[in-house]
Amino acid sequence: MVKDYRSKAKIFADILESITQQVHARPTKIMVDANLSYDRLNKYLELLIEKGLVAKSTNSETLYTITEKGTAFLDEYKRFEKFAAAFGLRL
Amino acid sequence: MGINAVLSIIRLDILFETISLVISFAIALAAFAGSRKTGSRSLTLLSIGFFLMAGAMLLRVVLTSWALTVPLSRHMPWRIFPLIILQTQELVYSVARVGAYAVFLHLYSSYSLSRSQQSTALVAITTSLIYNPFFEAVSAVLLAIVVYQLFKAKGPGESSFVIYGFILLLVSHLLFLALPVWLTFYFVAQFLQLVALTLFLTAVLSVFFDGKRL
Repeated sequence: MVKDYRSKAKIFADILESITQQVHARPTKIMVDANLSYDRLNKYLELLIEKGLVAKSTNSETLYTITEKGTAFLDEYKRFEKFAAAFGLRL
Repeated sequence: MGINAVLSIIRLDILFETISLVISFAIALAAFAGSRKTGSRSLTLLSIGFFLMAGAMLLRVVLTSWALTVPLSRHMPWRIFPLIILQTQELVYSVARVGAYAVFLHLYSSYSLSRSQQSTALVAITTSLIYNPFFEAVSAVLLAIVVYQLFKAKGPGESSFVIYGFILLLVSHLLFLALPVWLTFYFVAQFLQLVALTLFLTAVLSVFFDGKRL
């Protein structure tokens, strides 16, 4: 059996989903939702900011929000997840 | 059945194959786009499977259409050329289709939503040790023709033992083909073969005793 591993896109989607649910997301909550360590989460958040999918705001505390591009990516990811599920497959 | 009827069936077959080709290609493209966007291996494998099927169908549509339109040569080596092309095409088509199904088997053994994915691969490997699906399929086709010929020649009223014997043999090979679905089919199929042979023996014995039934 192939080991259950998450693709980079799946991790992106998990992070974006968590941010979408919180609107202004705290890193600790994203860590729990996306099941990532602090270091890995930071690495992925940097990538997401670089790609313009997530925006970072640092006022009194560090918060993350999803951008329009991020929402579009998440929608598309979910669509392909449904497509795979229609064939009885995991993405 | 005349040559025109056969040609009509082949043309209809090409039409169906073309529609199937378009559908397969569309699914392959959608899965490929998904695999590029999400990096998903399951969608990559799905696209490979459907691309293989679409490729096989394209080859069949193009070569069969060509064979139907090419004028027959009067000289012998060239006269059978379309036939050789068609036979080669059929072989490549079958290999490509089997290849696509092997990809699907790997796909559903590894990335299925269902938790029974391990058993899918296990059943496929185990059953391949005790039977060969290709020969079972060929046997089923040949037996279907035999049964049809027997019905045409004598009807179900006469030679009942032999007809039912061949029908049971046919069913047994179909069950062997369905082995990956349920392993118990193996024993049912073996039992049906035993019953079929018993029916043949009964037919032979009935000849010896009163000269009827065969």
